[in-house]
Amino acid sequence: MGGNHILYFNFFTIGALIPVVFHFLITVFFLSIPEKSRATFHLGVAFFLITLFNFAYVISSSVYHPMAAYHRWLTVGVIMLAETHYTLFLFNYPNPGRLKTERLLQIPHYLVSFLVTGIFIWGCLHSDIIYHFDGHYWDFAAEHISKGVGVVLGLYLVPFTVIFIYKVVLVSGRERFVILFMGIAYLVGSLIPAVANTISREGLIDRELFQIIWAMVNIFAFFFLAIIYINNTRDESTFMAKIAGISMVAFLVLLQGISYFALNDKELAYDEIHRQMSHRIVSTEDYRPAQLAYVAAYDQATGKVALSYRDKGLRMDKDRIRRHLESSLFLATILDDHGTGRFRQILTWARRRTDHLTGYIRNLAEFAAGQGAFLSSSEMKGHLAKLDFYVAYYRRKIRHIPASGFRKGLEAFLNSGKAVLPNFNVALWDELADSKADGGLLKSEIMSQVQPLRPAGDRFYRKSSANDQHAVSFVQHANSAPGRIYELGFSYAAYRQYIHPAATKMILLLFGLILFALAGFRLFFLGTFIYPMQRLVEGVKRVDRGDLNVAVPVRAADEIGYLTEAFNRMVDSIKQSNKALNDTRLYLKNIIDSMPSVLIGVDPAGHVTHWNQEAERISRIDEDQACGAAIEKLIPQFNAYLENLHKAIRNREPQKIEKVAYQMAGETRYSDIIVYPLIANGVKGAVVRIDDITSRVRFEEMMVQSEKMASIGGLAAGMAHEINNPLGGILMAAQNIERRVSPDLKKNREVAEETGADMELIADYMEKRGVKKMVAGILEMGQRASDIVANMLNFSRKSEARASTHNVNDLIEATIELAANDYNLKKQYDFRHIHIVRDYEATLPMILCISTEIQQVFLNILKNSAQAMADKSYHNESPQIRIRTAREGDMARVEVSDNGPGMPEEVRKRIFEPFFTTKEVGTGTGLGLSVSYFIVTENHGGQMAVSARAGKGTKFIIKLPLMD
Amino acid sequence: METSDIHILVVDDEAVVNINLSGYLEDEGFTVFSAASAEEALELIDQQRIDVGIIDMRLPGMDGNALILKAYHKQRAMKFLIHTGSTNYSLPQSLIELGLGEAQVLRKPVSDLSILPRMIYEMFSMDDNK
Repeated sequence: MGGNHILYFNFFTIGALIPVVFHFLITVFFLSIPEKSRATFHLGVAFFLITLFNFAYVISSSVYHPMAAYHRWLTVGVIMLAETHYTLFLFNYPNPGRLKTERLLQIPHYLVSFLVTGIFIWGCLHSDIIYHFDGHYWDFAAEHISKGVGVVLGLYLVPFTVIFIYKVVLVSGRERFVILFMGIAYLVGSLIPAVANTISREGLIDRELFQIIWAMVNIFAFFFLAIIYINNTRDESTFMAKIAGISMVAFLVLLQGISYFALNDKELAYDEIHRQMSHRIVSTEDYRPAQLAYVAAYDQATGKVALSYRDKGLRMDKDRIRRHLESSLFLATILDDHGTGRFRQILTWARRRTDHLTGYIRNLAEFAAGQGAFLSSSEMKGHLAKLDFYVAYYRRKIRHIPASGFRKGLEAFLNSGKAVLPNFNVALWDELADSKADGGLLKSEIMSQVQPLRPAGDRFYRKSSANDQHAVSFVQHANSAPGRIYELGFSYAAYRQYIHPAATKMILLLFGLILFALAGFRLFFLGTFIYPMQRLVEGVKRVDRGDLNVAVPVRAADEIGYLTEAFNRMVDSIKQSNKALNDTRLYLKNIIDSMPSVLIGVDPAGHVTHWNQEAERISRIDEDQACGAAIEKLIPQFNAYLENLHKAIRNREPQKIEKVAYQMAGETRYSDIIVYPLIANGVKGAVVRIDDITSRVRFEEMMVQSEKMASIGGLAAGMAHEINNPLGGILMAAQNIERRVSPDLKKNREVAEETGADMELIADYMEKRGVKKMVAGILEMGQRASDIVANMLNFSRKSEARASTHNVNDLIEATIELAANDYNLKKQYDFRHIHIVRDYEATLPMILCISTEIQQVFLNILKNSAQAMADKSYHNESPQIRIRTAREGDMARVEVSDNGPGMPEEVRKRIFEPFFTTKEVGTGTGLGLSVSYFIVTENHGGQMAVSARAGKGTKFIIKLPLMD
Repeated sequence: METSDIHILVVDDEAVVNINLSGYLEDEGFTVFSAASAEEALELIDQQRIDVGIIDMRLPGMDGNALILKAYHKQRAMKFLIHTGSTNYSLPQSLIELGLGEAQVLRKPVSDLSILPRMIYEMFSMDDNK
């Protein structure tokens, strides 16, 4: 056949392609992981390099051309880098190592790899290309350098092993075992094929077995490693990928076996066909099939080989064929004859000067002599099988001795303990002694001594010395003529073509299975597994995002169906507990919001976590805005008490700050602040409770006021009697004096006449000396003292007057009228200059009161305002009193506010105290407002309060109980 | 009835009050007797016809109320004006039964003594200008 075709698939192609596919798929799997860790990256790269490595084997076993030898450059080039990345992978697992250290590891590894690869390439360029028939592949005759590469590869395991042991010792927990198993898998996956490769090169196992070991160990060990890693990495992966991966590995291993047996059968068939062909060729002159390459015929009588070529390009080594045919004939004769003649037969052969059989003859003669006269053919066969093993060993050892310095190399081998066949040793020593040659020539002479004794019908291969063509050869005995034997060579390419279709089908099957596993599995599992799983995962993702309105439909009552049902139930129960939680939360919020206190939850940093409705109301800040803000930003008056907050949290003791005064809407208000630390386990922070106690403080003020009034009342009552008696005396005396110095009184004139005085003169005198005025002064002063006592008695004396029903608005109007006409008031300030604003609630119910008293109260207030406003100078406004009445619950509320000067807080506090006055001494008694207060609170069961802002005005608030 | 025919008894233990009250009424033309205690007053009532008694309530020994009751039993025609410094004085039932009312109560200090003769004349339905 022509050299048109060079690509022929065979068992070795499949054997290498399976690891290619396997490693490539894992590479894709790892490198396609988004946001992968560095460990994953290095593992992916390592798997990719192993993919390339195996692909090189695909080339070498499929390409029937010497150029295929260059595949070695690829294998050597990537294997060290692959080991480097496995080491880096382990370095970065389970946690990424220091990048600097990683570079420190990687750079020397890479440098050595490049250097060794360079040396190997250089070595290859200076080596021959040879064809290995046992593996059907091309290679460089670069044994030494290949061994060197092997050593470097072994050394590359050292850093891996060091990191491996280091990590196994230092990493604790589950990951220790992950590392342990991955490390062992890697070492097994690297060492076993390496050892198998070495022993196959040594000739102890054949290439096919190595190929199987290589593929199986490689796939199993690295699959094991990959699966352990995938199951333990934190990188993302999918379930489907794992199922497809595991299934695929099973398929690949199965296919490896199937292809081995299928292709083995194919080869057996080939052999059988060609043995039949050989038989016909030898017996029929006319039968010459197309693939027949040559016919070699040996005649024992002449000791010559006749060679006839059908393939004109071939040139076979005639001498070698002769030696082979002789050895086949030798084998046939020693096995064919009866036992008794066997020893004689061997000796006959010894006389035939078949030099290349010396070793065998010596060995067999000794064996036959040792066995005695009778030696069965099966005993002989048993011995030959053992011998064949050792001879094959010799053959491989000697083949590996380089041609240059061959003699020395062989002598070294024969002297070493490894040369275990003494008879062969003698034969080889003899050969060495006889031959003057060295190098290649001597090597081929020696090699002929250790050729196998090939039985007729066995397939073997021959290389053409003229070109890179090969032949598949069979030995065939002549049917009728003993001593005649043939060797029939068939086209090697035809042999490969014969195997190729079967191998191609296997490869197609391989890709079919991959497709099936990748796409078919998906399709196959779509309905049963992937789709329900995706729906479930979608549901889980939605719940994960917080959407609880999820119900995944259940498709089948299998495990996924159960999972889905359980998931739906769990979502339901989450929904329910969320609702319950929310209800509880709302309920608690409701409770907290219903509290009349400001309740603020804060974290230890003082940031607000809860903000109840009262807090919203008081601060006018929404809960949403308040949460997260610092409490002192929201409630500035809290600034001074931050330390109390921290103290409460630190000491786990409530902190109470009482009666904190602050200004709000122009009035002073009071709060109690209590900080309760949260003491439940795990919760840190505090609750700040702020109670508005303004009305309580006001009430207390009022109580104090009332107490004061009552005690003054008691005092006044006691004092009044004692003061009134002397006061009566003073006033009476003054009146009598006034009368008795007057000339108008008849009695005065009579007494004056009696005493010889003139009443007119006395009156004149009195007038001139101002005595009359003085007496009038006594009367006036006495009168004023009398008024004071009478006023004070208001505090004690329950008015005798009867209460009657009145309209508050009417009472106010009457009082305003009274004020306008008040002479004393007019002296200081004309009330008519004040603008009165009336804001009356027309439908106010009647009150039960003593009208004079209530009018007195209003008058006092109006007077007070008018007097106060007199002290203020107005620029842009005019004095104004606003009177507002309104219903407030079951009280009538009267507000009298002016825009006068107002008063400071300390004045406001004391304004209802008796005798407290800011006016000049003599202007007022200081009792007006306190009497008013007494009238409202004691006599009418009402309330009276005042609020004021300095500079802005004063507001009196009176509340009186309504009739209904 | 002449003004001087009206006999008035002023009972007050406070000398200044007693002198001034008596003095004022004498100046008005009334016949005035004075006593510093109830006992002294009763002695006088036994000896003299008294038309009007102006009586302080708080007296050493027997008080004004008892004095009025005793005096009334001595002279049924006698009229009374109560002159008191007590702020919480209220007429006892026994005196109300004698026909006394709030109009007959003068509270100290009496800042205008001119009301006294008016009240007396009123009792006797006399024109004060007589």
